[in-house]
Amino acid sequence: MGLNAAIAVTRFGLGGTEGEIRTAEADPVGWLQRQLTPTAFGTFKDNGLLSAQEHVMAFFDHRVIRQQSRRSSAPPDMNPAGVASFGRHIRQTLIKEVSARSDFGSTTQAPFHERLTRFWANHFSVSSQKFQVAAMAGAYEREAIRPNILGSFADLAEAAIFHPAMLVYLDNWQSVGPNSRAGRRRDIGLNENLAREVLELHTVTPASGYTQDDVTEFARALTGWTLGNPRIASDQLGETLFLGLTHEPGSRTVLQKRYSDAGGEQARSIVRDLARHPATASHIATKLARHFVADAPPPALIDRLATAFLQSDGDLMALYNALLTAPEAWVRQQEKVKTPDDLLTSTSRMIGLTSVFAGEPRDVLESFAQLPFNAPSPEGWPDTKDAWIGPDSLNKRIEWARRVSSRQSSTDARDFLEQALGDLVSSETRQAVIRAESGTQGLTLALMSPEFQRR
Amino acid sequence: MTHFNRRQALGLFGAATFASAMPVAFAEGMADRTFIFVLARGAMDGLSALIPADTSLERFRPGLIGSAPQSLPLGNGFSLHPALSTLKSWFDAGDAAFVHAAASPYRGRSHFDGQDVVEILGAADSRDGWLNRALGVSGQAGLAIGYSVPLALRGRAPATNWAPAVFEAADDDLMSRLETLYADDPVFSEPLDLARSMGTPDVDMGRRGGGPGRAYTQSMKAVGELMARSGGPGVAMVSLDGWDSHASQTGFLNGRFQGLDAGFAALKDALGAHWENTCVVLCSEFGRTVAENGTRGTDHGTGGLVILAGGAVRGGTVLGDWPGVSQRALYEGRDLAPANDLTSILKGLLRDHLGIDRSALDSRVFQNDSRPMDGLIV
Repeated sequence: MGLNAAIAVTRFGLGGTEGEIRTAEADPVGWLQRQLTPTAFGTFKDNGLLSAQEHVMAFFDHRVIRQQSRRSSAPPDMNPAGVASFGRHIRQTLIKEVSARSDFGSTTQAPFHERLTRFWANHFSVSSQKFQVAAMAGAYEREAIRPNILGSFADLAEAAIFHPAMLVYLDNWQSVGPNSRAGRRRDIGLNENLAREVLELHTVTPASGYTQDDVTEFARALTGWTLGNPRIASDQLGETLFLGLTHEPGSRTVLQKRYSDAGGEQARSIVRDLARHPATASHIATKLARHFVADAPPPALIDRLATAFLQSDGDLMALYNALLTAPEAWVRQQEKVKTPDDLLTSTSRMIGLTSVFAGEPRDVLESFAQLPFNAPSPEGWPDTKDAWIGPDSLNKRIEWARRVSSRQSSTDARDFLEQALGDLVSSETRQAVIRAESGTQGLTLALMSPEFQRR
Repeated sequence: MTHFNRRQALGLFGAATFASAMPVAFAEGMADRTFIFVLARGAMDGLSALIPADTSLERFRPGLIGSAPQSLPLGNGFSLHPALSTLKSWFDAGDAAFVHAAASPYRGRSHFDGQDVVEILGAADSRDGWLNRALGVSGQAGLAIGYSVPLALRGRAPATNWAPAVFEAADDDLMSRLETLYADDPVFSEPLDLARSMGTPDVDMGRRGGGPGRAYTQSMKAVGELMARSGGPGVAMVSLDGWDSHASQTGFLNGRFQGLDAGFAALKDALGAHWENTCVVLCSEFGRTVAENGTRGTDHGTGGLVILAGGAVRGGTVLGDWPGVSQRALYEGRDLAPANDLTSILKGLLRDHLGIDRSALDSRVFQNDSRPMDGLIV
């Protein structure tokens, strides 16, 4: 009983807060299931954070500045005022967004819900590494991901793929059908980036055997999906919209299925079909099992999840329930190693966010190489230990743990272990902490113990 | 596989290399050779770096060619991007060469699968990296710049990674206690072991920030400084991320090429006398489309550019076959054709630079019998 509560809190949650394992003890699965309601989500504090649309407006405001100064004979694309002020806007936004996300993660009482949000935001990754989308990455998570993780996968996929942030991140907003009215008139054309990544990363994966023709056909169907800008549809500035003017006319064939030209509905139908494809079910099942259970998940667990996905036609609640009731997910062995983000979040739930950063947040986040909203590619952050544990990265965790502990004289390392890990603590770790030469060293060892580094 | 104590054997930043511990064919006199593999992730547009003088290209890229700054002619039908002035001077001095239209066996267009193939380059069921398997033969120590060990360097031979430190190093007592704590958990005990033997070398990376181009320069500088130290690793890998130029690529690539070129200069500077024994090879997972797309960028393609640099390189030439960029020469009607096999190029380098013999290359490192390319190394 105690062990399952500890597993619920650490493997499925974000890591124990004081007393959390005790709360989960009576009914660990029920404790997790009760977190899957919209009200649990409603507690995310987004006071003062701008919407994606407002960020697009800010972007165009700064562009206007650039264009004005260009007329006043400054060299093109070199206007320091516009670039610098938009750069400042991005930096300030990211600080606020990272801080809101970290605050919520360190305190939420629906940690499983938040884990799922982070999982899906990573699956449908947009990254602040792309300058045009940097300010929107947090808003995207709030608008496209958070409200849609308890419904169907198809709805979630549609919300993510057609969100302005994704249309900008994967270039679809500028993609124009060569035979569309706009394409025939001007020297602009197709960009297949979004089509390829939806097929490869978001849905069916190369395992489904799609071809270059499928990518190109899907890219053609996606033309027209853009966002309002000052020149086109300025009354819908920053909103997702479908523009017949740039849409490639004609029917399209993707994965052997023909889609007649129904304007914007053509691409939406393709996305919905991809979302319910058996290859998508396997892909999502594997990723979810890998995220929560093991880098190489038991095939039986993957089968269980894929079956739940297919039988429910992609109902995410059915998928989560299959995960929570699978015996493979509750083994004592902690297979997963925490990512840097997991490690910081779980530590913050015990000792508070300020203590975790032990000085300058940016130092810690850069040293751990997992700055929120800043994934290296559309594939998102890696989810296996190979990517996160090497000699140097382990060294950096040790140096960080030591620094955090040295500023944490009031925390008792033995209490920390019991509250954070409960029955998962081994006698070896308990002994090592008790025998530490100081409270600081004891807490360092607790933070660096295999049980706390794993989940 | 011989087992040995990694801490004693891998004197990455302290004692000698552990060549003597390795029971393999390792040519005399090759031990001081330096080999650096640079993976430009995201697919560098090779046709913007090394530009063929061909009117077909102008037809395929009217927007890009029109907006491109004046390139640097090499006098052989190709010219270099103007930001690559260091490479140009090395080409003239015989320290840089190029192979265009190179490709791994991968023919899809996924970055992630393509990078996996370029990093593994082995039998179908192979899960470790070719560079690690090469270390297993050459007996050198491997180092990656970055926060983790990339796939090409992962495997049974010892390899480690390095990134700039932020906090004070941990003391020996704490490290010993952690060693005890990790006794039954190799996921932590093995990296800890390597971390302890490596120590915490410090390299001044200068000011932070400044975008991908600046990061390229810093990574290349760091690898040079670490390799130049006494007992430093003989083999290293650098990942330069962020080459996926789907839109408005002229300015995008200009900054990256500047950073790369400055990185090459900083590398040579840091390596000092080692430069004469150095071979750097840079490639991407694949190239990009010959034609520009609708947004003044290029999409995922096939044949890509390989850059060779270093005192050990037979420079001053564009090597291998050049398929051309006329419409009928293109792969699937859109990409630079895969005319030169990346595995053959790497085999030629490992054979002639690190002295790994053909049978070890075929059976152990690349697990295929493709022919090594000749004439890459002085």
